[in-house]
Formats: sequence, structure tokens, C-alpha cells
Amino acid sequence: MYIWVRKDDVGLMWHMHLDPVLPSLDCSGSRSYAQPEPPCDSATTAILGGTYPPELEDPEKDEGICSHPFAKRGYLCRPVDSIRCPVDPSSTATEEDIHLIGCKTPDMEAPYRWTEAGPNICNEGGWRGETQGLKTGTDTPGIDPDLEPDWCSNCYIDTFCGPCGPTEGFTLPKEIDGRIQVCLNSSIPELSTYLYIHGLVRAQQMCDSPMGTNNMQTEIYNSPDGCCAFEYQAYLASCDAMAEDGVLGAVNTNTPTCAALLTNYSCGTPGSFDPVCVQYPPNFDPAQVFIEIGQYVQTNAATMGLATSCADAVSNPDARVQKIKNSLPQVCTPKCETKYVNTIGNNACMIGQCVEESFERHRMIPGRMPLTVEDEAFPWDSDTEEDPNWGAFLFTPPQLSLPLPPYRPALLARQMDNFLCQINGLPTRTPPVQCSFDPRRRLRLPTKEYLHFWESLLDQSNEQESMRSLIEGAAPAVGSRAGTQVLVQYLGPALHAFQELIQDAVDLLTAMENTEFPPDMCKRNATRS
Amino acid sequence: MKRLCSLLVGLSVLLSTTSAHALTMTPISQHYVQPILDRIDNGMGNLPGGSASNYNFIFFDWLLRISTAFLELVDTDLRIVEHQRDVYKISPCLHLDLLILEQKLEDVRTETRNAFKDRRIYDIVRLQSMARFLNDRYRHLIRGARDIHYEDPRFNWYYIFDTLTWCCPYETDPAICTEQDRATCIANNGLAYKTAEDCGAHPVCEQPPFLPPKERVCPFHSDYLPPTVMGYGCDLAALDAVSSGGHPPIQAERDALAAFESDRDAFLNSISYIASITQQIFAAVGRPPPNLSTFLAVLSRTHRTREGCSYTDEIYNPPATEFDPPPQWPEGAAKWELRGPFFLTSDEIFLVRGLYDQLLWWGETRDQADYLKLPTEYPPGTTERTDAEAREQNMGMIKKIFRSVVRSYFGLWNIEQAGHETKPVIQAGDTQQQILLLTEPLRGTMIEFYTLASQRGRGIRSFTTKLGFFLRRTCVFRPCNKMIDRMLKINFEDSCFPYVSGAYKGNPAHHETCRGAAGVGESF
Repeated sequence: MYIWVRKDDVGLMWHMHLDPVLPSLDCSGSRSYAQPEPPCDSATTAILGGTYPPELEDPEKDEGICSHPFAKRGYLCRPVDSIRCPVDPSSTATEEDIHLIGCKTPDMEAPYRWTEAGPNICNEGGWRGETQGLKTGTDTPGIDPDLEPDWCSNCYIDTFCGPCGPTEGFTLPKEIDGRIQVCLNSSIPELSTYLYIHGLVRAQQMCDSPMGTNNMQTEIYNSPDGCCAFEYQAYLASCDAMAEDGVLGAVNTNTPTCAALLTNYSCGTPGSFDPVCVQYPPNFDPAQVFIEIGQYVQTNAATMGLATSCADAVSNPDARVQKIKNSLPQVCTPKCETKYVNTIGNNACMIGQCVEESFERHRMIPGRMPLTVEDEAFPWDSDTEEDPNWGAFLFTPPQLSLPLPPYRPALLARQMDNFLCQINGLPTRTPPVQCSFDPRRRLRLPTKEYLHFWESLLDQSNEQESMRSLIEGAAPAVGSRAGTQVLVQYLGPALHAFQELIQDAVDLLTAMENTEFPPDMCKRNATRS
Repeated sequence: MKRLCSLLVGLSVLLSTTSAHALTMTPISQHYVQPILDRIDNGMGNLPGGSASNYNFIFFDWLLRISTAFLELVDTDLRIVEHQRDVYKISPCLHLDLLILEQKLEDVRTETRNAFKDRRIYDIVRLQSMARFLNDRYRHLIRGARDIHYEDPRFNWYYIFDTLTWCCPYETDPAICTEQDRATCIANNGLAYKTAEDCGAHPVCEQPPFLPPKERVCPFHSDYLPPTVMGYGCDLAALDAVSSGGHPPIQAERDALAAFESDRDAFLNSISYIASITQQIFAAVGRPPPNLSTFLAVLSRTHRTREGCSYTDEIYNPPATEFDPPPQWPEGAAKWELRGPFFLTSDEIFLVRGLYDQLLWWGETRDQADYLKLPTEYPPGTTERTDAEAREQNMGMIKKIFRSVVRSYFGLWNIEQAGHETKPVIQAGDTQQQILLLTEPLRGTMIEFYTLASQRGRGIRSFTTKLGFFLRRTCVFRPCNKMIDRMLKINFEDSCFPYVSGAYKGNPAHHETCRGAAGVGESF
């Protein structure tokens, strides 16, 4: 970038790269992540920007995902360089001192977070003011079939109060049109706000999943780990709200423990608090705390400003509920507005979500507006691979207009008559039996030796016998051949047309097989290197 | 008078196809017909001459004798059955050689008439032998001209008109048969025989201890066949090589063929651009270029020739013994034209007749059972032959006669059986074979389609795999990876591609087999 200066003006100037410049995907497959020197050797180990890494092989047995070139750079696979654990014996720090970092065995280990599509940052909970959302309709305590999401939303919430079966509430999988139904159990109205927060976070988790798939529900949520991962985050939001309202302080517990017991309650054996997801702190009675939370909320809901009925919770939602609903739409979709309180955290959420959405959904390299027809939108458009025209031209199978092949039995019969006479050395006679054996042929030409004469006479009859045998054998065979010819003449063109049809399919499949995928991302002159 | 009329009629029938033109042409077949002519010419040049004083006593029925000599040649089996069968299929080259033989027969007949007129009794006998010899060769040429495996077993016999003979020195001991001049042999009171075997069969004479392998003579000549693109057959080159003699029908045939080839070449040259267009079309469609090696190949056709039962084209190299493997049919040569001269549809009657004759020939050459075989039917030097020779020595005359009768019966039975096989061979196998040939190109295409549609590393599955890996490297949107994983699992599982193999047929739950084998769920 340059700053140019004239006497009367100052301005900026920069080079516009014709080739897209993407950051390097990897530097080296072997050296340390933090090793700055020597520089990456582009000829050997470095994978330059704009280049796809080699196809990923499945990891060897017991090797795990850390064998992958990118994954091994990740947090989980990175070796811990140094950490002050255990405490340095020479340390003079006391319990009262402030420790910036140290080792402490946690009271309990929370389930890991499991996200699917969409941004990870600030994805659960709310941080935005109301902007986009529903295009038409209003979410009422009943089922609202008239709701329709706007351009900015991947999903929308349809809350309804009612019996939710044996549960306090549930969130159904995302439907094809983006609807996510949240059910609140109206028989425990004082808990509606907290249940609503839980249901909305569950909806947030599914909001950016592809339309029409219930992958999260069937393959993730129904697994023990998936249930724990999803429910813990949802209950964390609910418990956080309870903590804000003083509920947890009143029952002498904290947010993680609250989320732990509710998660265990949801994902474990129904009616039990077995620690299937999270271990409890020592001497903790989850059932007792659960009862105390319920009793406290039911007793003090009105004084805490909570809705006292399910319908009230939906129609006049709590500010935290509304914030979560406000945070459902995407932040970086064109023509969509994002509004939030100008705080550091909210700005971070905005930037983070926008970057994530861009990586997941947006085209990173901008094009330009073509000015004329067929003008290229990208500088490399003119360098794309030449169109191989696969499938554009195909042999057209010949049109089938198959008249029945000629079948001329009379001609065949006449040929056979001729044949009979010919083999006896006679012209065609009618009836052809006249062409049969005629002993006068030899009797009229007697030879001197009688032995030879008789031999010749006998040979004549043998010749006749031989010809008779030939006729007997040949006539049905000739008929068979003639019939086969009729079939062949008919079947041949039909089979040829069918073959051409199949060959066209073969051509298309061969073209697909021959398709080469580029090893480079949007490289200029990629096909001419 | 009746006999005289019969003779005139018979000779006119015989000579009707000979035409009045004196043939000065050389025959096509230099390995078979030319030696025949040479032997006849040599025999006629060496006629002893001289008349007998008792001629009238011996030849009192001279008219009957001379008529018999040639009425024998008016052989319906040969002239009508054998020859007529091929008459509209016969090529000009074969026609020419047959005409030359008939011309030679006419020369013999003329000379015979003169011999009778001059009362040259010894010449008459020799000329009769020549006529039979010619007629016999004519028969073998008719039967074996198109069959590379057909052999003339009596071609190398020494006939009475030949200079040489197998001579048994009757008065010497041991009387070992030798090949020598006939006149010398008889002057020394020797006995003349046609073959060494005949000579050795005489009780007093002995076969020579070593006999070189007999040269195998086959009338076959590829120039007798219809012309083909590969270069074999009676084409312009073959006719040009012999037509200088000026036989008008052959010359007309040659001129017509030249005109036809000229027109054909002009037409083919005018469509030569089709080759490049075809290749461009195939390239545009994406198909591999077609094999056009035979397109217009006829324009650069080179005449090729295979003589007799030779293994190779270049030199005459027939099997040394009858136990050597037979020569292969020259690749690219055609035994018969598929169609007749007057119609375009295939000549079924003629083709069936061809099969019938082939089967008869196979029946005729079929081996006898081991207990009926002669020692000579085993290869020399084998234990089987030694055993057979020992068996032969211990076999009584009655048993030999009985064996001969049985061999003859089974020989005839083999021929008859082969003839009966014509119908079932065609009806049971020919239709299927024709359909098989018809569907052969389709079969290759279907196999290719099956491969491309089903096999893991080919076609649609190869594309899917490559696309999957391409997307896997590109995909950041995580459900995409999930879908790719599912797609690849299915793509790598063979049981999920049952469509071409038909494995799904009758199994309504095949999709469950695929799902279980691939390890995927119903949905995402």
C-alpha cells in the first residue's frame, strides 16, 4: 500500500492482485508449531497458499486425528510446552495471593461442546437487539402455521404451551421450512421462562443445520455424548438466568452445578440424577437441590418478575428470552441488519460470527460487475479449463423404422427345386421329381468292360442316395437358416440402436470418470502450467 | 452305329465347356496343374510308337475300346455333381485351370484317335492312362481347389506313361525296389510299380530300407478363392499374371474386373474424407478414435498367394508327413462368397451345402478305433506303431479281411453320420451362433457400461470418490463433511450398486443390505 502526495491532495494507492491470495494452509508436517526458523521451504514441505493439501488419508489405527496435518496443529494435539504444575516448591505464593495461572483439579468436568453448522462464537445465548426474524406472523402461545422467516433467518421459533408429554418441555427438530417448535409445559408456569431459555438454546444449536435434515437429533443428540453436550449448554443458559435472578444463591449452589444436575436429569435414566454427563462435587445431593430450585421459583416467581403463566412467558417474553430470539438470524447476510449494544463482547460476537459465516457460506474472493455481456466476473475466468464438451455431443441412436424383413417361401421352395435338379445335373423341371434318378444316363452310354459299366451304374444310384441324404439334411437346415436370417435382419438394426444408446451412457460415464479435479485453488493459468 | 453316335455325343458333352480356343496360357497353379501338364507333355513326347502286327486280333472291337476310354470320362459324379455344384461360384482362375486340364484331355483324345488310326498299340495304352490320370487330377482339383487340407494321394504315383517307375529287379537277390527309368527296368526284366509300397508288396521284392517322406501335394491355391481385402483370391493381379494367352472369356473377365476396380477406386477416393470426419466426430463426442485401419485398405491392397497345403505364403512348405500339424487357413482368405452372383441375400442353400461337404470330409478322415487302426496310421517311431506292427504280424489273413470289412463299414458309417449331422448342427447351433455374433458388439458395450456403472474405481464411482475428496478438502461447513462421509461410505460399498448386476432382483430388502454393509443410517 502506498501513500501518494501531491501539492493539493493526498491519497492511498494499492496493488490489486489478479490472483487470489489466500493464507498458507500449512508450513511443515514435521517441525514444531512455534518454530519460526528456518522459513518454510516451499519446494519440500510447505503447502503454499492457494494449493490444496493432499487428499486426507484415514488415520492409522490408534493414531487418531492428530496424524492429520492440520489437526495436529490444533489445541488438543499440541503438546503442553510448560505449565506451572505442580506448584514450584520454591514459590513463595500463599493461598491468599492472586494466581494468574496454575493447576487445580476441577470439581467436575463439564461436557465438551458439540456444535454442528453455523458460528461457534456466541452461538448459544443472546446478544443482539431485535432486527430481523419473522417475515410474517407473531409467535403466540399456540401453534402458528402462518409464521414465515425472512431472508436473514435460517430458522424460526414456533412456541406453544401445552402438555409436552412427560417432560417439562422439548424442542423438535428443524423442519424443512426452518420451523423449530418449542413446547413449554403449561402445568409448571413459574418455570416457563427458564424452560423457554433452555428450549431456545436448543433451537439455536439446530438453527444453522441444513434444511430438512435431522442429523443433529438422530445421530448426535440421541447419542449419550451428544445429549450431554447439547443439554449442558442449554441448561447453562437457563441456570445462568436463575443465578442472575438469585435462585441459585438462595439454594446455595452455582451455575455449573445447576447445569450439571439438570443435564444429568435430562440425559440419564428418567427420574434419576445419575451423573451420566457430569460428575457432582463431593457431598452434593442433586435431588434435594432440584426440589429446592423448583420450590423457590414457584414461590418467588412473581416477586422476581418472572412470568407466572406459560402464555405470559411467550406473549411477553423475558428480555433474556427475547435476546436469544433476536440472535437467531445471521449477522453477515447481505441486506440484513444487525443491531446490538456497543460493548466489547457484542462487537467480538459480531465480528466472530461474521467471519465464521463467511468461511462457511460466502465466496471469499470477490468478483466484479461485468460491464458487457460475457465480460468476465473474475480475472481467471478466461483461464478456466477448456470445455471438453462432455455430454454436449452424443451419437443419436438410429431411428428405428423396422419393416418386417422379406420372407419369400415360394422363392426358397423354387430354389430348392432348382437345387434338386442341379445336383442331378438337370435343368429345372416341374414337378421336380422328374429330376430324380434316371438310369438311362449310363445305360445309353455303355462301356466295354461290364464290370466298369455295372460299377458306374451302381455309383449312379449311390450318387442319388447321397443327394437324397443331402436334400434330407439340407432342406430343414436351409429353412432354419432362412428363418434365422429373417430374425437377424430384424434384430440387427434394433440391437444396433440399443447399443448406441448404451454407448451414449458409456460416453457420459467415461466423461465423468475422466473429470480431473484441480489441485490448486483458483490458480491463474492453472491449466496452462 | 449307336456306339459311334454315343461316342460323338459323349465327346461333344465333354468338350462343350472346353471351347474351340487353343489355350496357350500358363495355369494359375504352378505347383499342381503345371506339373500335371509337364508330365503329360513328357509322356506324349516319349510315346514308344510302333504298331503291332496282330493289331486287328487284339483291337477287333477298336470302336468299343476308344469309346470306353472316353465314355469313362463322361462321369456324372465328376462332371455334373461335383463340377456343376460350383459352376456359378467358380472363380475365373479355377475355371482357367480346369479349362487347361480339359484342353490337355482333348489333346490326349486327339492323339488317341491318331494312335488308333496308326495302330500304335503301345501308345494307346499309355494315352488311356494319361486320360485317366488327367481325369483323376481334374477330380482332385475340383474337390480340393478351395480346401487347404485336401491332399491328392496319387499324384506322385508313377504311371505307365511316366519315364520313371518303382522297379523290382526280379532276377537279383535281394530284389530291392528302386526308383529308376521305366524302359531300363523292363529291359532288365524288372517289374514296374506305381509306388514303393506296391513294389514291396510283391512276395519276391523288398521295399528299400529308407524311404524319404513323400512330398505332400495339395491342389489348393489361394488364387482360386474369391478375392478379399487381405490380398488373397482371384483378383486382377492373379489374372494379369496368366491372361496373356488371350482366352476371350477370361480376358473379358479380367477387363470387367479392371473396369470395376477402377470405378471402385474412384468412388473410394472420393469418400476418403470420411475418415478424418469420423475421427473428428468421435473426438467431439469424447469417444476413443475408431479403428479405421481397414477403411480404404483395399486401395493399398497387395496380392498374396498361398500354394498347396503350405504353412507359409512365401515358400512352398507343406507338412513333411501326414502326422505333422495341418496348415492353418490363410488369415483373411474366403473359401466361398457369401452371396450369389445374381442376388444380394446370403446364399443359404449353397452355404448349407458347403457345411454338408465339410462334415462329409471330416467324416471321411475320421480316425478309426485303435483296434482297427493300421500300423501306418500311427506316427513313425512311436510305441503305438511298434505295437501295431507286432500285432499286424501276428494277425491272420481271415482276421485281416474281417478287419478290412469292419473298417470299411465304419468308414461309410462315419461319412453317413457326418452327413446326418448337418441338420442338427445348424438347427441347434447356428441360430444361437448368429445371434451371438449379432450381439457381440452390444456385449462389449454392456460390459463397459457395467464396469463404468458398478465398479469402484471406474466411471460414476470413481467420479464420486474424487468429488468427495475434492469437497472434503474444500468443505468448511461441517454438515457437508457429514454428508461426504456418508456418500463415500455408500460409494465404497459394492452391495450398494446392484443395478447392473441385478443383485437387487427378488430382494425387496436389498437397500438394507447396502445400509448395513456401508454402516450408514437411514438419514442424516
